[in-house]
Amino acid sequence: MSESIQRFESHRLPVSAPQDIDTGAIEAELKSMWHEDAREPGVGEAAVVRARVANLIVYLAPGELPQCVDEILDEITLSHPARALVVSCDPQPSSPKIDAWVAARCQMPSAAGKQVCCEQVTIEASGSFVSQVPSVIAQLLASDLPVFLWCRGTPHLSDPLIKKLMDFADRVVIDSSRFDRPAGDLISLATLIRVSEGWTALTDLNWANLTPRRTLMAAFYDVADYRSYLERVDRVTIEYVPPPVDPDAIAPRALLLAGWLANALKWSPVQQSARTEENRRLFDFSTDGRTVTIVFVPASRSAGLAGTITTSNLEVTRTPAAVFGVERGAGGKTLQSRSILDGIEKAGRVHAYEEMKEGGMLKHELQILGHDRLYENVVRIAADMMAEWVQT
Amino acid sequence: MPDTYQNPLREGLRLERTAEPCAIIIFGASGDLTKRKLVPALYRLAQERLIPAEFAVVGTSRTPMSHDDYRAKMKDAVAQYSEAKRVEETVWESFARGIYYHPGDIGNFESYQQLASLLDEIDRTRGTSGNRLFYLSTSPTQYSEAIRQLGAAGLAKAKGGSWVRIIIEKPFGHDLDSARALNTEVAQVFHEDQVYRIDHYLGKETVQNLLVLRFANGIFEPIWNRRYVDHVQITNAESIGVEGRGGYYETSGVLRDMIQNHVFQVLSLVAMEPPINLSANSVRDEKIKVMEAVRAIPDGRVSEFAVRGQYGPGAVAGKHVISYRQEPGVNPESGTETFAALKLYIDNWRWADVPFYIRSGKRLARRVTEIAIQFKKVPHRLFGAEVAETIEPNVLVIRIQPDEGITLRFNAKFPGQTTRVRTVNMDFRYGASFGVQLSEAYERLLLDCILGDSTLYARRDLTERGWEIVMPILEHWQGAKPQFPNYEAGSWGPHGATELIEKEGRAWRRL
Repeated sequence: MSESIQRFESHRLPVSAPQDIDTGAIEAELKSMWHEDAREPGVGEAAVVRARVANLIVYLAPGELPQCVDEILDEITLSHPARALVVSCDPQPSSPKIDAWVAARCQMPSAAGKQVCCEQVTIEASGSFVSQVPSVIAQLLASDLPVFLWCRGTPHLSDPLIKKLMDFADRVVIDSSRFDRPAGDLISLATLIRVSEGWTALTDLNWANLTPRRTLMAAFYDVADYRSYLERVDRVTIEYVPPPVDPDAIAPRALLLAGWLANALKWSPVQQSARTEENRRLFDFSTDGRTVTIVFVPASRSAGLAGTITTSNLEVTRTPAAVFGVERGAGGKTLQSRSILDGIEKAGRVHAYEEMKEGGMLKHELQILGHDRLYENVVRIAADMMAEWVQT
Repeated sequence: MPDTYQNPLREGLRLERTAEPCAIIIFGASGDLTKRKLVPALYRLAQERLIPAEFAVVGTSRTPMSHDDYRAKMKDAVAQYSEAKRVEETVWESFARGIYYHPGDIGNFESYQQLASLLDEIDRTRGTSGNRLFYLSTSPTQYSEAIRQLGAAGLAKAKGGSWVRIIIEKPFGHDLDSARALNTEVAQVFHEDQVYRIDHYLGKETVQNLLVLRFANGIFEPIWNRRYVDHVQITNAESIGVEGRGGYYETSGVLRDMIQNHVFQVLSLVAMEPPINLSANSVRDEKIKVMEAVRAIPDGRVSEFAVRGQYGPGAVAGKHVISYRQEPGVNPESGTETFAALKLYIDNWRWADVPFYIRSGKRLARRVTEIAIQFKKVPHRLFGAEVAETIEPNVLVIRIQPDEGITLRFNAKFPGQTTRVRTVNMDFRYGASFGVQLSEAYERLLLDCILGDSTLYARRDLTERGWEIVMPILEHWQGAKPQFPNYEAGSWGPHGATELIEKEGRAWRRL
C-alpha cells in the first residue's frame, strides 16, 4: 500500500481581474505541473503516473477551510485518482473576491512502483463572485469522466449554487449525520430526492455506514429455520446515540434503518401512530394483518459516537418468542449478531467493526454510478415518520 | 434442491453476495493448502461478513486431535498466511467456535458414519441447515476412495431443502484415461451440478477481467479474429523451481501441472465465442466448443508443434540455483519436463490459421503470466521504407500476474520536424487505477461454490478435452528419451522453443 503521500502545491494563480477567473491559466498551470513530473526521475525518485478516473467536486460547508479535506482526498487518491475541484463559497462577506490554486497529490501504490498522482484545483469565492463558480467548474471538469459532487454541508434547495453544481453531477454525495437540523433536514432531503428525480442520483455516507449492520440483519433471513419467527416480527427496537446538534432528535441513521426494514419487508405506515412513551418514540406499521411497532430508544452519550446505532433488534413478542439482534460491542470495535429462539441462544458471531471514516465511505461511493433506489425509498419513509413526529 | 428463497433484505445496492449457512468439510485438514489458502480465505470471508454465523469448518485427517487442538493450529495458520498476518482475538474466538475436527481414515466406512453424526450435531447446534461442501484437498490418489465412501455413507445426497457439493482440487487425473475414470467414479456418486473442479487461475481478478474486456467493450470483438490477429502468445513463466515438491513433480511435469489445466482455461476464455448470458453453463458451453475445435497434433509430427525442456543450473535474480535433477526427490536421470512450448491451431471461422503459441516453465528469467494478442502488420506502408521498419504491429496484452492489468501497444509520432515513429504503451493497471487490494482467488472461488455458482469451475467435458489435446504429446515424449537439461535456469527456455516460433517469422515477446 501507499508508502507516502506527497502534496505539491503551486503558487496561487493570478486572477486577471476582480471580475473574473482565468480558467486558461489554471489549465496551463496544471499542464506545467505534469510537464515537470514527466521528466526522467532522479536518483531515489519514482516515476510519476498521472491518473484520473473521475471528477470530484467538493463543496465545502460554510466556514470550512480547504485544508480540512486534504487527508480525505489523500486517502481516496489511490483507489480513485480524480481531478478534485474543491469549492469554498461565502455568499455574504464584506469584500467579494475569488482565488484559485492548483495542487497535485501523489501516492506510491507499492515500494517499487510509480507514484500515482492526481490533481486538485481549489476555488475560494465570496460575495458576488460565488455566482461565477459554476461556469469555472464547467471549464475545469475533465471530459469523459463521471462527475461526483460531495456536499459537505446540508444541501438546501434554497442555496442558489447547489442546484447548479448538482447539474454537473452524475452522483451527489451527502452525509445526513452532519445535518444541522436532523428532523427538518431529513424532510428536506426527501424533497430534494423527489425534485432531482431523473436528473442526478443522491447518496448518503450515513447510509453507507449502515451497510455492516444491514448485512448482519439480512443474514438472519438466510437461515431457513429462522423464517417462521421472522415472519411474525411485531417489534423492532433501535437504540441510538442522539446527534450532537440536537439531543432530542432521533439520529437520522436510526430512521434510515427503520425505513429500510419497512421498505424491504413491505410494512405500511399507520397514519397518526407516532407517539412518545417516556423518552422513547414509537411508530406503527402494518403488515399481513399484524402491527409492527418500531421503538426508537436514545442511549447515553457514553454509549458511542453521536448519531450511531448501538443495538437493533427484530423481536417476536408472542409465543414462540424470538429476538434477532445486532449489538455493537463496548468500545465500538465489534458487532455481535445473536439469535434467541424460545429463550435458547443459537449460533452467533462477533465481527470486527469500525465506524467508517469519510475517506473510506467516499471511496466506496465513488464506485457506484446511478441511482440508489433503495436509499431513495428509505429516505421517503424515514421523512414521513419524522414529519408525523414534527406534527405531534 | 437448493433453497430458492429470495431474501427481501438483500435487495438493492451495497450488500455483497453472502453465503448460506453450511458446513465445509476439508479432507486433508492439516495439509499445506488448508493452512495456506483455505482457512485463511474462510476467515477473511468471515471478516468481510460474507459468510454467516451459521457456518462450520470440519477438518478431517488421520492424525488424532481434539477440536481445540485443531482450532489452535488453524489460528496459527491464519496468523502466518493471511494477508493481515494476524488475528483479532474476539473475532477469531467467535469464528473458531465453528471449527471442528474429525479424526478419520479415508478408507474406513465407520469414519464416514461418525462424520455424518458430527455433521448432524453441527446442524442442530450451529444451524448449518444440512448444507454441506466437501473439499478434497488430499493426495489425488485418495480421491476415488473418498468419493466412494461419501456415497456409501449417504453423505453425497442432500436432505430435503439443503444441498451437497464437492470441490475437487487439481490435478484431475494423470492422463486421459485416469481423468475419465475419475469422472465416472464421481458421476456414480454426485450429479455434475454438485461437482466443482477447482482451477484457482479462474479466481484471479484479471482472468475474470477477460470476459469484461471482451464483452463489455464494443471495440474489441470486431477485431478479435483471424482477419486482424496475427497470432496469440500465452506465457506462464515462473522463476521458482519445484520448491521441495520434486517427488510430486516427477510424476507430473509442466504439461500436466500447468498447461493442461490453467493455461487451457485461459486459452478457452481468450478464444471462445460470446456466450448468450453469464450463466455457468452458457459460459462453459462456449469454452468447450472452442476447445473441441483445437486441431489435433498430427501423428508423427509432435516435435513440429511441441518442445520440452528441463532446467540446468544457472542464476535467477542474482542467485545461483541448482538444476532440476539436483532437486530433492528428483531422479538424477529424470526425463520430466519443466518447460514446454506448444503451437496450437483452432479450426473454426474465427481462428483458422491463427497460431496460438503457449509457453510455460519453471526457473525462467522472471515470473510473469500474460496473454498477448498480436495484430497483423499494417497492409500498406505510408511512411517510407526507413520509417516503416520502426512500425511495430499493435499488441494487446492482458497481464495476469504480477502487476495485473492491460496494455495496448500502438505507434505514435515522435515529436519533431521529421516523421519518426515510436511504439508506446497505453496502460491500465489495477494497482494504479483502482488501488484496491485484489481479493485472493480462493476467497472468490469458495464463496462462488457455496452460492452454487460454477462459472469459474471446470466442467467434466473441459477437463477431459484438455487431456485429449495433450495426450499425443505426452505419449510421444514418453517414448523418446530427451537430452536434458537443455536450458539454463534464469533463461527463457530451450533453443527449440525459439525455433518453434521463429521458423514462421515470429518471435516470443521480450518480457
